[in-house]
Amino acid sequence: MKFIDYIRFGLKNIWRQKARTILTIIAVMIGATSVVLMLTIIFGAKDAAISQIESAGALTQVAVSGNTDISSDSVFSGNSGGGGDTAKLTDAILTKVNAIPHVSGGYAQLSAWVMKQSSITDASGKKLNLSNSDTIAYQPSPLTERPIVAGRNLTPDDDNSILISQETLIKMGYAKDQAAAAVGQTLNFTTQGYVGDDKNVPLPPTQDPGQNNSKQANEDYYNTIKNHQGHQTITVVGVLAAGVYDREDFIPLSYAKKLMTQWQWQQKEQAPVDCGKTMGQCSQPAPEYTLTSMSQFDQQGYSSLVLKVDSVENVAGVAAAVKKMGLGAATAQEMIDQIMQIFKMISIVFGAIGGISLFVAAIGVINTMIMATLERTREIGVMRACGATRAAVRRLFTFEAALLGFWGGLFGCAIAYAASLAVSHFAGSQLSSQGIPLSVLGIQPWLIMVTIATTTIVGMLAGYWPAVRAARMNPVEALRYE
Amino acid sequence: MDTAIIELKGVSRTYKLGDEVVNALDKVNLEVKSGEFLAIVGPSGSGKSTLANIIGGLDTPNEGTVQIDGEDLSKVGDKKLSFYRNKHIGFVFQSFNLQASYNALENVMLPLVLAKTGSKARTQRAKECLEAVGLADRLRHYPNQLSGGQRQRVAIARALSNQTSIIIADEPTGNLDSQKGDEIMQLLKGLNKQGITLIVITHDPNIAKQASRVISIQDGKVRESR
Repeated sequence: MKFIDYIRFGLKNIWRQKARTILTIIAVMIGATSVVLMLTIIFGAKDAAISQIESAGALTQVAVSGNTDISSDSVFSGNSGGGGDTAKLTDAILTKVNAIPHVSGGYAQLSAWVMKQSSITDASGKKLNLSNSDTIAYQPSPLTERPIVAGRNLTPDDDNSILISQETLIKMGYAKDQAAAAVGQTLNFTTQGYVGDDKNVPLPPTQDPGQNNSKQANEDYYNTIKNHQGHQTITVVGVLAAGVYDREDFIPLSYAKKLMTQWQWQQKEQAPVDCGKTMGQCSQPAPEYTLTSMSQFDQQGYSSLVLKVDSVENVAGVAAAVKKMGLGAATAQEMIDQIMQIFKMISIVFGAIGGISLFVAAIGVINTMIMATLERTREIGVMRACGATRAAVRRLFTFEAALLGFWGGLFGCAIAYAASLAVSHFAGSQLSSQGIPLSVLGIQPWLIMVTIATTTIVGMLAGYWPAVRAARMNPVEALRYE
Repeated sequence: MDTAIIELKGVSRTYKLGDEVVNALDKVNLEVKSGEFLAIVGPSGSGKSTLANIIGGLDTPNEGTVQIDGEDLSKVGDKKLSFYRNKHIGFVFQSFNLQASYNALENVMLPLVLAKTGSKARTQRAKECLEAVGLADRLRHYPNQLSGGQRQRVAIARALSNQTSIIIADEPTGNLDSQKGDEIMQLLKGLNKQGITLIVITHDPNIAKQASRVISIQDGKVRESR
């Protein structure tokens, strides 16, 4: 038999039992559809995640922390993570790491947790819940410029200004396309204690050694100081584009430092007074106080440093050099590796699910082909009598099974394609408003080809055993079969 | 008419039926000359179908040699045996054995398809064969649209299509009334006159009478009847 005749007869033969063939093809089709849709979404999501990282310019960044246990998402978050041996990140360290070859620039970031801790209201007094967002401070420079959709980036002259994320934009009650309206709006929040410009700290109560309530008075005083509320107003100057900075708002470093500086009275050191031998006869002189600042920043340093590297190839080298200094270093590559790893796992799990559905479909094909060989036993006998070799019979039935797989794969891909078109047509705007690019739904041509090839091969393998059985039939008995 | 086209020497064929061993053929010697019309008669279960199947290359003997055109078929593999059936043998069965889903033309083409004949050539040849059996106007009919006699004619056309030299007909008139049976026998005899070796298995004495030579089989042993 010629190859073309296997096609011709195979195509004809499988449609002899239409209902059974259609059911078998549907089984394969469901498997193929699920595999294609799952893999398309996985691949699309992976590409979207990685392209977001790339568009954020993070591929040429190294995040430096004082903690050697730095996690790679600190490339974006500005948080250094906690625990472990922590070196204080100072401007001196920034200068030092800036001197590493291939570093084209660097800036420091400070996590302004004070904002996260206080309750924030908008101009109308409505409370905003920004607990999911971080407020990061940096010294504005060309290096810190990020893609924006409205307003502008922070400038060195900014004081109480904020660059808000898409998340905060939504929380403020604006739609994605109303970003421009948010620019110029103000946010109010309260600070605890005397911070920043608020230096009107009341003096501590005078110490009277003879009185019992002096301890109580002291406690009351410190509570009052601690509970003093300052009011801060901050102006939105810009809105960030959607991307990896969706949960971060940015403020100028100078402003953050101010917010993180507490004022308090400190007692001056006084020389002890010589009272001679008669105790209790001389009294302590009245204590003198000076107004001093307590800077959180001076105590703890920056949260992290961000280094820009001249090219992607040198990122790993710079990270290694930073680590050699006893600091933590993270690169987006590590994050991409992690994402890849996660997607690899998801792919394996989904692939296994798809594999199971294809396996079930294969059992359907086996069943169909066994039925077909039994029904067509006499036909097999006639073919053999007319000169068909065992191999020809085997090939014909294997080919028919492969056709079942082929049609199943083809229709499965068609349905997956139709589904992706339908989703992008009916839910496309919803998806993109969620920041999910529509490319997630793009079915790769190679995936279609691989899927059809796979289902065809699965059909072929499933049909092989029934085909071998058919080929092994004794032609004399086959001709007598009723 | 002189050369022996088929030569069986000491052919035995046994079957196992449960624990019992059945001697379907017991050391059979047989020569069939080219162009002969041989009738094989015998009671049912006597081994006449087994003999026909061995001659036709559908079955192989346990012992002995089967020489067809000087070639020993008793020991060859499936591929060679299939090739032999395809090239030399045309089977005609009592129950016609047409493929219900193929029309007359496609049924007749089957041996040509297996012989890798080109699409055009085989359609042409199948048409000729159907014309030869008087079914020129039934080319696209399906078996269930044809009468019994017509079906058997299609089967004969199929047996002819690959220019076969031997036709083995196992009770070819068994499912037909006597008139239609006669017509089929006339057709087969006509082909025999054109030089095709005809082997007919029958238990009908009227058919055996028409043969140039009759052998009978009883308990696996062949006896020359006429």
